[in-house]
Amino acid sequence: MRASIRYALGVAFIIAMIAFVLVINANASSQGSDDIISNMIRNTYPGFKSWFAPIYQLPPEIETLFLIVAVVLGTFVIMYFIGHTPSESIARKQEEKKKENGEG
Amino acid sequence: MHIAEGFLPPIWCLFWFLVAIPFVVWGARNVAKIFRERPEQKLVLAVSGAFIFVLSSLHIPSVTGSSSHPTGTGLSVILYGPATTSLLSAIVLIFQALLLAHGGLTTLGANIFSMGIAGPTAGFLTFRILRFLKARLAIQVFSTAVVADLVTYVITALQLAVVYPSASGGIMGSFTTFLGIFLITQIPLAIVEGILFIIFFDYLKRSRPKLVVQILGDKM
Repeated sequence: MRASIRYALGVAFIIAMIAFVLVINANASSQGSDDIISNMIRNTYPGFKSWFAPIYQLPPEIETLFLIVAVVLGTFVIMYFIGHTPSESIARKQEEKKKENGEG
Repeated sequence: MHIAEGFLPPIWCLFWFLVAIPFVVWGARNVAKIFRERPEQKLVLAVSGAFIFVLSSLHIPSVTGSSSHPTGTGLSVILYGPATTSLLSAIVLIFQALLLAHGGLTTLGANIFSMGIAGPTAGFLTFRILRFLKARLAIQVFSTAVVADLVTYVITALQLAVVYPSASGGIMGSFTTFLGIFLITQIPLAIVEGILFIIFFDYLKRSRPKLVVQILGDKM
């Protein structure tokens, strides 16, 4: 099987898995496992009090903005690498072709 | 696996910082060496960091109805080992603690240890053992990513259980409770992460075979 078809099938499988989970849990709260455990500790230890509060608390909208910026930047680096790589191999082939023509 | 701000007592925060710092310094020296001696690998190193950056920020819903995030350390572990991964993870965790309210500054040492040191070390050992056994490359990559991901959560459960033992079962009681909550959400995500890294590593091997051989030291 060609590599590109394998990659497409792999990515499609990942997307299908996530979509399947979203569909079967359409009404679930999707609470983070970190939050579940934090709440469990708070409930199990009634006297529990966090000894250090965050120095500042950004508004949720700004946090979301930073999250999107982080994910976009990270994805850009990965996509740049994927996009840049074929161009390198094309450049190498062109270089080889030039050499062949020059020698011929 | 992000332990929230103020959830570990100061003495444990200090302990985990003291454990994590030598690895991060070792990782910084490795990265400086890569920049100095193999500058052509800067982009691959950046991509390894980007995977950690993206995957550990995204909360993905799991089959149980709760959500969690992969760690994204698999690629970095295979290509550069646990020390370099600890530095990349530390950078990501500092960013997340300061700007995304994931984790915290006081628990940074504990979070670096679980995501940047313990998980990657377990993943790296798995990778070396499977290479020694001459397992298929896809199995090596998949197992490394899955083990690095799951061990991260095992260690986080242990870090919390030591501080918050249950009244009836003690540390082991809390550990199994926390681990159960983490793993039931995390196992499907770790499998997805493993598949993602199989695809990317196969692409890397095909598109830059010389670079992969140069990094791993022999032919794949």
